[in-house]
Amino acid sequence: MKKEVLKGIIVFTIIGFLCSLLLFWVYETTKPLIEHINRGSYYEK
Amino acid sequence: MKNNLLTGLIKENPIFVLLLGLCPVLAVSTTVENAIVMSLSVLFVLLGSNLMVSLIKNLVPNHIRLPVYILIIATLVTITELVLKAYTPDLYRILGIYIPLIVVNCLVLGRAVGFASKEGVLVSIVDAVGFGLGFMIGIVMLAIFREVLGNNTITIMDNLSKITGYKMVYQLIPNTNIFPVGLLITPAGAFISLGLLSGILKMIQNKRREER
Repeated sequence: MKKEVLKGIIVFTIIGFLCSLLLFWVYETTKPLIEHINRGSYYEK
Repeated sequence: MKNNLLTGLIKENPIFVLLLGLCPVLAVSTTVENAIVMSLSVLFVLLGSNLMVSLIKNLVPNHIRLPVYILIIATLVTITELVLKAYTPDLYRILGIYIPLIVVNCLVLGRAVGFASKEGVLVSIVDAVGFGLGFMIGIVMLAIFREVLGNNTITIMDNLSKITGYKMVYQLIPNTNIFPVGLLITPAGAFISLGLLSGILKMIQNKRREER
């Protein structure tokens, strides 16, 4: 039982870490565009 | 494989037959453009979640299946949200809360738990494409019905025109006083339209069955 719980925690942590890495990459890629929109320059076109 | 694709497309169409994930369908189907972007977002999340879930199905212990699947789906939805926010801010504003709500869409979680966690990678991808396209057909049909009768227009590219450079908004019948029927654009109109389309499709299905 203890082993199963430990395995669950490890798997959840690893998948969570990988998901956050992916999200961080997408966030960093889209950040300049989102900042550009937030500054209001997008709507001045 | 072909059966898996057709199941989601027609036999078990998520909108008209299973009646799954209706919240965004009713709220967003006011224009065809919104419907297309919403269904593409759902297709992306469905495809990604089915692929990932079928890849890790043997690694995840049974008691943490749901939290792991929700974690994956939430990641994919956040990616969709960030991309929409960066590239089509107007549409992102219009679709609003309905994009984050894909996380709790029964269709996405249902396919991940009920199908992808038991089947192989390729079959899961085909299943996701079938159900995603079925969702797209349903929401676009509803949007066409509501927009044409409720507004006398078809908007394929309006907010998207900043990216594509093309504006595609058509007025269908000029100088008419029969259309528009404003009720169909309201939330009540969404329920009426869905009921009508669902009934018509059921009638066609029954007629075909009787002919056989």
